[in-house]
Amino acid sequence: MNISQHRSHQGARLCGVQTLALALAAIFAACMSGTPHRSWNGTPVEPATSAPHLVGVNWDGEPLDLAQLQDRVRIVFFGYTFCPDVCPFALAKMQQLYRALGPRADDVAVVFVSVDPKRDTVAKLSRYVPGFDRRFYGVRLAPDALDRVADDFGITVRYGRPPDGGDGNRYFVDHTGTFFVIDRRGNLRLTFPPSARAGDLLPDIEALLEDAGGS
Amino acid sequence: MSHRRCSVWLRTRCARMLNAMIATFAIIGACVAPPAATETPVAAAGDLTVLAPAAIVLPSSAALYFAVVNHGNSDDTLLGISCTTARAVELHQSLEMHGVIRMRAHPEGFAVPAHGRLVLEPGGRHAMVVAPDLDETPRALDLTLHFARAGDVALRVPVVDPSDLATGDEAHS
Repeated sequence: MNISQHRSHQGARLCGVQTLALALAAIFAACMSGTPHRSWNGTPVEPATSAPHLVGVNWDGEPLDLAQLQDRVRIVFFGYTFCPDVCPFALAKMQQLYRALGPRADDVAVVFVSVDPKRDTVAKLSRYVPGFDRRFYGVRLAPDALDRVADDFGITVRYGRPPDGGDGNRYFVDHTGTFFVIDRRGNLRLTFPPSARAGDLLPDIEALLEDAGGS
Repeated sequence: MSHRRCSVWLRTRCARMLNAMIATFAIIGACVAPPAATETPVAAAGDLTVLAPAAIVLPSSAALYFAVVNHGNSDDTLLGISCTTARAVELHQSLEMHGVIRMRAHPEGFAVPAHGRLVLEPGGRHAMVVAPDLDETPRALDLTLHFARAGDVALRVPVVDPSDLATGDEAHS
């Protein structure tokens, strides 16, 4: 066998190896697409842990215990009604999500928690939250309860200073805008950043709705 | 099938799959791309034109959004906004860092760079209407924008639903 014949033979063998590798990769990909493995749009909370205790008063004056919304997927996020720019759009995204879910929205509890109990009275929440959807929860926590819940969820709440000589009721509240997703069993499963769109949440929420049993 | 023919068949197959995937993603991309904001000016003064005004008015808060295009060679500044049906209108910016939303006032105004644009949009620069004096949600707010060079611009801003401005309308199941 001369050198050129040897190279030609080696080339054919290499080509065959590449072909085999490609075929195996294609078969592997095909097999993987059929498995129940799921990649989430949200950031998984691993290991999934029980959702923090959260008890307050809903906008309708009724007590609200997050744990009692069992068998429903829950989306919890924090804000305040005087927030002009970000919070209304967080609620608007939940409207879009509800529209996309259709009748399945009844199995998803949207829970807006005020970080501003001083100004966000239950009466104030009752004029704000149901304007987006009457099925949404708008929860006022007592200030000490809010501190505990903030610690348990690991969120930041910082109150700005009212303008000098101005209205003491005018201040901003810096706060975490994360969406926390809790599965039907009450486990905190996923988080989404404030910039997440309804379309980002939708497939994950649908998967959690279908996952009747488990974490 | 020989090695060579098999390899060519696989490559062709892979290329077709790749093209199909690219086409699929292109379709998805086209579907989810946000609609371009209307470029029809609704107000003008000097070198400036104002586009796509929208307001959201809620029981405790109200915010304004629009874009200003500067066609001139000189920078300008949006110094402030006045509204006859509000105590004040303030220029603010929402900022997000590590998931925490912060709001900062910009009493110095917002720059409108030469041959550039200023965009007030949800989650970014915006104008907050302080204590709007409204009996019910209006159909529009009448404002005057105050610019350092171009002067005053009267603007009628339609009130819209927040979901009309929130990104995410592509949420279809």
